[in-house]
Amino acid sequence: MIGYLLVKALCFKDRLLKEEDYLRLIEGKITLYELPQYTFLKKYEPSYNNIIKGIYEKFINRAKYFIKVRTTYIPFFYAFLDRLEVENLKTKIRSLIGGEKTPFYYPYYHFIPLDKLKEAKKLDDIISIIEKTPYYEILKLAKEYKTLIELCLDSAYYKYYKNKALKCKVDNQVIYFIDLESLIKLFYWMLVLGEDEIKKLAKKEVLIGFKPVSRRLKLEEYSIDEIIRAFKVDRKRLERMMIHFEISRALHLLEEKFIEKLSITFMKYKISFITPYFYLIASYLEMRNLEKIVLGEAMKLPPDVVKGTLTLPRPI
Amino acid sequence: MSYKFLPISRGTLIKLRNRLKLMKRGKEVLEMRREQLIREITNLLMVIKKRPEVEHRLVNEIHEISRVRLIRGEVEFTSLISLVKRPIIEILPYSIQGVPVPQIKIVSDPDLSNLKDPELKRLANNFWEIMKELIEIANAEIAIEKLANYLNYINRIVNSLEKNLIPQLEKLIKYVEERVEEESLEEFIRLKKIKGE
Repeated sequence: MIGYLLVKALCFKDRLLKEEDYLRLIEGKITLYELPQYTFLKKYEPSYNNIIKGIYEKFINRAKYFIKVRTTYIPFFYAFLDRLEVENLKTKIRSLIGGEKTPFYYPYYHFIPLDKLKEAKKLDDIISIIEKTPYYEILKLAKEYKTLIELCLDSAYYKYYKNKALKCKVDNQVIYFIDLESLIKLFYWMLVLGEDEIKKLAKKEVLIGFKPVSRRLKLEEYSIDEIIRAFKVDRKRLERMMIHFEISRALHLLEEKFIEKLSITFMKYKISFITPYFYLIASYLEMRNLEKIVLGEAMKLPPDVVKGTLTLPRPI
Repeated sequence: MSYKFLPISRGTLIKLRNRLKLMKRGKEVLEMRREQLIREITNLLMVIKKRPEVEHRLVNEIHEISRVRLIRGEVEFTSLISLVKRPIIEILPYSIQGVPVPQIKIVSDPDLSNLKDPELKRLANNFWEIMKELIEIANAEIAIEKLANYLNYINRIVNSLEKNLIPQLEKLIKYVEERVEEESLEEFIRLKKIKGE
């Protein structure tokens, strides 16, 4: 069945939006509904929130297609999509802390039904909801880190995601890229909590999910230096961003480097599991890019600003 | 004010002179008040002068926030922002130079303690600093509007006193003075005649 998956992924990849499509959208030369893949969004007009939800649904359906194909990789595809569930969990936690009544969720769930999540009234309810899910693993280890619940969730998610990837025996290249994905998240937490705090937490196994499982990557000191080396990004540029707390720019830089590396690997090893993985990542990026364009249009941002935030796979 | 049916007498003249004195004193007081208001408005205009610069900073900050919102995505951004407890703002009536003026009062600043993300914290802090300056400018603007209305009202009264009431009263006093003098002259002549007879 892997052959079928590869062919399908290669086929679907061609239907993804190209750079020129994004540019035409940003410049207002075409609307989103005029793109054959997104004509269904017309029914969501004019609420931009609903359009964004429609874009999320499109990505989820694309990823779910691979789940419907009976292969041994189903748990991996679920694990890939479950990042949205973790984001929903974090959203709920933040809404409970901040008192926001109607948070914005991804229309997706796997372990925790969205209605059940929405009904949670306090943090303890969330803990009891996730007790039977893989996301609880790190929280169980570190109950005293309730203030770092989001970090624990991220760590647990990557542990679960990597485990599924290993169990499904996906390609080593894919494992390497999953490690890079987790390093981007770890980098975010390093900027939020500080490198020293991360080093302390690393000793207590809270960050086990971020530890690379691929032989190509090493993370011994949990330092920003190791991440810079892993992504081979311009150190001075990144440091300048870090000094000014420009986390979004720094994350964007790492994401661009990640997709650049992934695109090159995909070009080299097309006939491997990297193809469906590349397609999933590219679909995810398409979702994020379209969200940016729709939001940019809603906020009446200049096209150049929107263009600067897009993360595009290298032309293949 | 009608003086048509005023009795021509020295008593009326004294009363009218007192009234004129009061009017002139009132006019002086109002002129002083007008100067005070003009000084207050000039001071407030200095605050308003900051507006273009603050608005420019606001536009830049909004662009920066929007850029971060795009990169982080709607789910993450809106949920992170929900961690900020909103500021409490009240609109209270204040008295500036005795003129009631509604003013925006910041009861409490937004609580950013739950927001751990340093970038969003920095953006929220910058945005709030700009909002505080804009509130100060808005307060000055509304104060200027109210003070200017009051100044307009005082101007109308001063003008009316200066151009209408005081000259009218002076004219009347002159008339009454002449009449009183005339009457006293008549009385004197009458007395002379009676004595001569």
